[in-house]
Formats: sequence, structure tokens, C-alpha cells
Amino acid sequence: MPMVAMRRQTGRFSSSPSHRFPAMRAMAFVWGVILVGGITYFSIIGLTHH
Amino acid sequence: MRAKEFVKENSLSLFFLVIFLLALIGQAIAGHNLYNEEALAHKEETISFWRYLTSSDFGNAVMENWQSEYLQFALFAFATVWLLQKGSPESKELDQAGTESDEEQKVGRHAEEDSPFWARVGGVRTAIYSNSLMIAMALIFLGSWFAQSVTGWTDFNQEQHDHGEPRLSWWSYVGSSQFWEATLQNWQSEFLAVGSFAVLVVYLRQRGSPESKPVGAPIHDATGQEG
Repeated sequence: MPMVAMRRQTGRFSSSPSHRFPAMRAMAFVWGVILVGGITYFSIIGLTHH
Repeated sequence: MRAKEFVKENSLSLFFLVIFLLALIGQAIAGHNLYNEEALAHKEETISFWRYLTSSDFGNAVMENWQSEYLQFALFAFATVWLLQKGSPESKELDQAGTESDEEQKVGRHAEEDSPFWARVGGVRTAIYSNSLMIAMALIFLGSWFAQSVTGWTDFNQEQHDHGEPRLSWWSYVGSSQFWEATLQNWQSEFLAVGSFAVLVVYLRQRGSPESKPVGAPIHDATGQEG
């Protein structure tokens, strides 16, 4: 169910399983940023002879 | 969603996120102290904590451990498609070696209503999605191994410069004993841990853990069963 429809129906965000996905995606995003950011950061440091 | 629910549903990744960050901060503090102790012993200039965080010395120490962890996970995910360990919950059942049928894997026309789109769609996208975990782990491994190589190379050349010796090209450095000693010392420990874990879980148990068989499961049966 779309977010807007869910809000209309319940007056607030439901805690149904389908609405937990954004939170789970946020966790995946945090780990992704750490990994991609860390590798990119240290690659640049090595390549720029720091 | 309430914060309490969020923490409960993500407690495993949140726990490891917190201890990862604490360990990384601890490594940076200890590494900075060690760097400056060695600098003083050699009558060289000490560096600030910030400078240490942007140094190849720190980057090399972090990256050489990252690459080996992701190699371990990538190899384990790949090897367990075909290789088996009787009695181990980490292994598939003995008659299930291989990539399994589309029906078992719920892909293409066997996909269910709530299957991910890329599992349903077929073709190249399903082929990519079918191997996406392995692809991601392999890319992280290769990326961090590359970062290890360039930070190690810069670090190595700095030492060569300090001792009045010639610098090496990146290609020469990745063929050097220093690079391979740093790489293989991490690989051997990962392979030891995974190999021994696959066998130890045949005989030993951790009640309630999905990494273990149920406590009362027979020793040589229950292959692929989680507790």
C-alpha cells in the first residue's frame, strides 16, 4: 500500500512489515556508505601518496 | 516505526556497526600512538591524529584486513554452492550440490508474487541477481585489496625514501614479498577460521544460534540444519 494511502487510513505510519523496508534499506545504505566510502577514501590516499 | 521496533529488528547489524566503529576508533588511536613512538625512536617528526587518519600507514592497516574478510565471505558463499561438509549446518544437504533448479530457487516462472522483480523477470537481470551477493563480496574484496596495494605502495616508498633507497613502481610493489606477506598472513587466518568452523559445528553446539545445529541433533546427520 502506498505511504499516502496508509497515512490516510491510519492517521499515522503503520508498523506493518511492508513499512519496515525503508528502515532496513537505511541499514543497507549505512553499510554501503562505510564500504564504498572506506575503499574510495583509502584508495585516494594511497594514490595521492599521503 | 518506533525506535524500539527498529532496534529489535536490526539488533544484529546495529550491534556489529557499533563494535566496528569502536574497534576502528581504537585502532586509529593505538596506531597513531605507535606511529609517533616509532617516529621519536628514529628522531623523526611526530604527526597529528588527523594527519594519521589521512595516512597510508593507517589506510594500509585497515584495508589489508577488510580485503581478507571479504575474500573469506565471497569464497565461502561460492564454495558452498558445490562443496559439502557432512553434518555441518553451514553446508547444504548432501544431494543438493550445485546451483539447484529454477523451481527450488523460485526464479523466472517459478517466482512467487512477492519475489524480487529481478528474480521474476528472467534473462540477464535474473542471472545477475542470482549471483548478486557473490558479485558484491568479490567487488568489495577487489576494491579493498587494491586500496591495500596503493596505501602499502605509498608507505613502502616513503620508507625507501627515508633510507635513501630507490622507489618502486606500483607493479613492482604488488609483486614484492612485502605485499604478499601482508596479504597472505591475513588470508591464512581467514581460511583457518572458516575451515575449522565448518568442522567444529559438526560436533559442537551453540544453543539458539542459526550458526549451530540444534543441541540434540545427531553428529553426522542434520547436514544443513540450523538450530
